[in-house]
Amino acid sequence: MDFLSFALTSAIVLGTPLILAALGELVSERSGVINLSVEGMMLVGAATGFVVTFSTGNIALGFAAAALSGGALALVHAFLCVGLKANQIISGLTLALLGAGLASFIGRDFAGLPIPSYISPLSIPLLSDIPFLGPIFFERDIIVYAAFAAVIITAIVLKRTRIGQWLKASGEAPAAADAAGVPVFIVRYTAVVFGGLMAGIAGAYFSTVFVRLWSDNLTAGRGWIAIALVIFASWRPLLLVPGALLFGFLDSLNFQFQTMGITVSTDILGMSPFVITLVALTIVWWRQQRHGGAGVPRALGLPYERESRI
Amino acid sequence: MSSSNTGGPEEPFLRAAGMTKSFGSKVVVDDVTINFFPGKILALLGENGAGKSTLISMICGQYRPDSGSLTVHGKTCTFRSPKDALKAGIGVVYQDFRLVPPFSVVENVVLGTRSRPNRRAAARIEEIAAELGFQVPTHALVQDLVVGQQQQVEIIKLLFRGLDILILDEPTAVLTPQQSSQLFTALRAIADSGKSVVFVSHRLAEVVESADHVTVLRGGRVVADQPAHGLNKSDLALLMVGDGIATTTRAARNRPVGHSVLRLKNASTAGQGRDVLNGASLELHAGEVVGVAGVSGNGQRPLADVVAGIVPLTSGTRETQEERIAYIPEDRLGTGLVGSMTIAQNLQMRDYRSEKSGNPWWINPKTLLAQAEPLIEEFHIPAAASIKVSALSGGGQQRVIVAREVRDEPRILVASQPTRGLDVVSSTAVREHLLDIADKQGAVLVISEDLDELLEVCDRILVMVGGEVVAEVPRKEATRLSLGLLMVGSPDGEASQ
Repeated sequence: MDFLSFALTSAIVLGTPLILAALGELVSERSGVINLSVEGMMLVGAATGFVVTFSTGNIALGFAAAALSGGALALVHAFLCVGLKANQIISGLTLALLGAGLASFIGRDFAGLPIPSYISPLSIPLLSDIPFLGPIFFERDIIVYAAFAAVIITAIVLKRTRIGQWLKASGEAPAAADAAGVPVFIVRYTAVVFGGLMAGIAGAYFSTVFVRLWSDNLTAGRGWIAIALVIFASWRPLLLVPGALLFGFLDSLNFQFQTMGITVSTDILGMSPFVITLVALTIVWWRQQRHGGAGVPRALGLPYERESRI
Repeated sequence: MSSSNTGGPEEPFLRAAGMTKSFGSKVVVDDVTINFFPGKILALLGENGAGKSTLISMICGQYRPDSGSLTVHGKTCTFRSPKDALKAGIGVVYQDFRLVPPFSVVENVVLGTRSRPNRRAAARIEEIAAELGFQVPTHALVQDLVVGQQQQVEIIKLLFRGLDILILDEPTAVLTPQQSSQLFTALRAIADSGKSVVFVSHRLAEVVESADHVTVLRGGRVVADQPAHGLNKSDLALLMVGDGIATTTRAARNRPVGHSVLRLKNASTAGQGRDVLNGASLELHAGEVVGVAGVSGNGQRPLADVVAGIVPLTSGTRETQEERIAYIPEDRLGTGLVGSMTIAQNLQMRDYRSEKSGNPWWINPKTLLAQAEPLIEEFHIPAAASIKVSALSGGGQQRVIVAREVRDEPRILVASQPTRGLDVVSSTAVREHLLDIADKQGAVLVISEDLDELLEVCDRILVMVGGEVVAEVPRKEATRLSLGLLMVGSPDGEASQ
């Protein structure tokens, strides 16, 4: 396999967990709740997913457990921020650290153990026969297809359905939504928990499909990149894809340079996604400032209280 | 209290009985009973803090009452959220609106209903708008509409749902006189179609002209509940504020008008949108009160900032020799005060570099409090010096700003919306202070959306349209109608009324 097709392939594989986690965060933020604990939720999902898959030999069970554990952590965030109106930043940061610790605890006895490859690529007839691009895009595993499908479904839901209108209204003007009879609290709870489920799945993809082992801090900051991706995409689902693929590609260089014998400091390569994030944020934010309407949900980060006097 | 509506059906759509609500230890609404009748317009009148908004919030499910019962169409209801009230047929147009800015008109109207934002919904909206004489572009984004149109969207939103009871909180606060009369025409049409319309107000004139029935609240209690027919403004004012309080500012005095103290020539400011200065000119003289009228967003805010000297000009000139310029800004808690600081600290804010505060490096809390005491007394600030400003009512906050700005007898005083949201007593006090400055040969610029206020205190009134001063009217020649017409840009309007 030549360099380009290998790079594209790994961009897709490494971009997939980013897409999943960022999509969940995007939905949460569109409802008005920022959740900085994506990294924590991913780690918990990765550890739980690995442990369950290792113990049962059933990867579907592993993914289900990962989703539930990520969702459970998100539920704590929702309870604090939507229910009790706590500060979303503090709650998110705390849960990010808690999640990392929890994941280490869950995976303690499983570190370094290998699991077999349970998910094999699913070749899509006809499409996979397209020269060059076919094998890259259409001989992937089912989670990759699911992630891309989820992006498209979310985009349609946001644009075309009542649920989507409710979600956007809750994030833009919760008081208006409430006055119109939209169940703002339920919408926000659901959106935050959805974000947790997606982050959990993203973590499990990493531990059970991609590297197929567990070690502490396995996701290595990808949860934070997922949060940045949401800004990168101006809170629009379809725009998550190019960003996720770019970061997936950068991530893959780390592995490739090693196999190709090019000596670049892995520390520098490891930092590169974050450097790119900073540069990208600067550009995106600057552009949005100049052209207005950044796409930031107007009530993002603000708790909604119905009886907001005293 | 028996309702004495004339000729209409006797069964009310809604009866709220014994409504009571406290915040902390303060009883805001105290055992209020009120009826909404079909086909009638009810005005809910009261000063700030009389409990009007809290009462409305309980009726529409926003707040839960501590006690009291709601009966809608003969059935007892308990509302846990605005959604429950909507289901019972009650809708509210809030003062600050409840619209989703980046949504289109149709999307806003159907939000929370079973309808979809499609052509059928748009057609229904246009139908409702046509019946009321509204002009609303159904596919425009709400954030691109002017305030008057946004209000129309709110009204359409309620009618689209087929609600029986429409409650409007201070609907005319943001409208020109012409827009207000259009609104009341529409409200009358809605009432005539058999619905119950309720509006909250503290503008006496519109209550007398537009309502069928008036309920007056004072201190959280009903003090009057009677047909509007036969009531006059001074009766209502008396009911609102109680006995023995002067409600009108003393008659204007003949002040000698002195020399010119500030001149603005073709002043323009930077910025986007409509709310900028675009070649505005004016001149202020010592001992004179000059008013500025205009539909909100026509450059009044930058004008105030420019005259006060806090915003630079991009072209034109501003000439003044005076350094003692005081500013009562429009945005009380945003630019006027620091809400989380105490009254004493806020009063001190202009003087922190002068000798008055003692040592320029060290703030002595005792000195601060001691210096605040006489001001609190003189300006009737309703709390102790160590209380945080955010705990005061709007009227109390404004008194703090006025005290700070006025006490050193400025040579130029800019007052932007000085009595907005204040009750009659506080408004009168603030206007007295403005006139005092003029009496002491200061120049006063008053920017206000309340035309009655301008007509009451000003020697001459400027009208702003599109960032320019387009007309100047001496007080003796100005009327609400003539100003209103100038504000919407028809200078010869008086002839064509």
